[in-house]
Amino acid sequence: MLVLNDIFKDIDELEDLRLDLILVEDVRPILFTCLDESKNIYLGLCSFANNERILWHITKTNYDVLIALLSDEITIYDAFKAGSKNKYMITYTELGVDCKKLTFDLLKEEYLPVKGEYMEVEDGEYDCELAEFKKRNSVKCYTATLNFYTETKTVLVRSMSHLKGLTESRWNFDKTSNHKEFRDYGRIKTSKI
Amino acid sequence: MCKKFPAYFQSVSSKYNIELPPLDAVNQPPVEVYRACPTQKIEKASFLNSYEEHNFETVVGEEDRPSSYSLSVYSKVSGVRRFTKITRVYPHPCLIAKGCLESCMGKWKFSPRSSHIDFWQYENVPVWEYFNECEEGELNVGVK
Repeated sequence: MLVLNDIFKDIDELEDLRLDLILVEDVRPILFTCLDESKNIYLGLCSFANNERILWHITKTNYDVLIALLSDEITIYDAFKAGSKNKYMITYTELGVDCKKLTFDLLKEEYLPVKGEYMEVEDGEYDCELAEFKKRNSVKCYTATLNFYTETKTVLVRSMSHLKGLTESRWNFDKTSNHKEFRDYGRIKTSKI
Repeated sequence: MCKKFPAYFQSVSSKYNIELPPLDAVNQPPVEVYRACPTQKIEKASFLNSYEEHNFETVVGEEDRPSSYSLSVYSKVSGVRRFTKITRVYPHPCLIAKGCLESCMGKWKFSPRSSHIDFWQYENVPVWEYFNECEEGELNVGVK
């Protein structure tokens, strides 16, 4: 039986992607979220399926977009357009899996949601999903201790990209403390705010 | 008249070692459902199961899924409307028909996560004759 997680395993850049929540379902997930190992969230849609191929489009996104989508604040089309500049177009055929990275303007309209249409959420319909997304989206601040030769400073850090921005300047991490959130950057002294 | 499923159900079941329809499919109680009509008419061609709709082929890689041989209907009109907005498989806007599944028509199974229902029809039952076009007002029921 065809399983989305098995499809992702065959794609170099997406091999650790896993199906997260199914937002709309037909005989297969039509609109869904995925998570990678770094807990980045993605929005996926099944654009086409016939006896020859199945086509999915996936985009890295954020919880603000997903919450707006399930709150009918943005259209389904705009929710997919938002997020990362590059979108993944995944094709499955009998020969295997193919994945292309394309900017949104290169995607064919016929494979995207209808423009101008909202989810039209009924009362309480997506309460569980919204609660989960809001929980995941709650702002956590960490203090990171950075050093440059004899100078040391402590800064507030909200995300890995924020941290990366800091360390691309002259500052390095103080390697004396530990936090798993930023494991790729070694050890930082943290306290949750 | 003896109600039976299409003849190919048996060969598919044997070939892929699946139950068609699944053992937990039911035919009671009757359930009100909605169907997106790909031909924009309430006719036989809009009520073909996925296998017959694709000219007796399944979606690639899904030959062993009972859903591949079912007709997709929804217990909520919002479910079927959302489906037609996200995937362009059917025209948009799509004519939506409302009807009632009954034991004389086949068996069905509810999705645990959504309003989607797989419906396995008996052979030679004109299912479309049990459906009518959804009224305009009903299409917006429940929408905030």
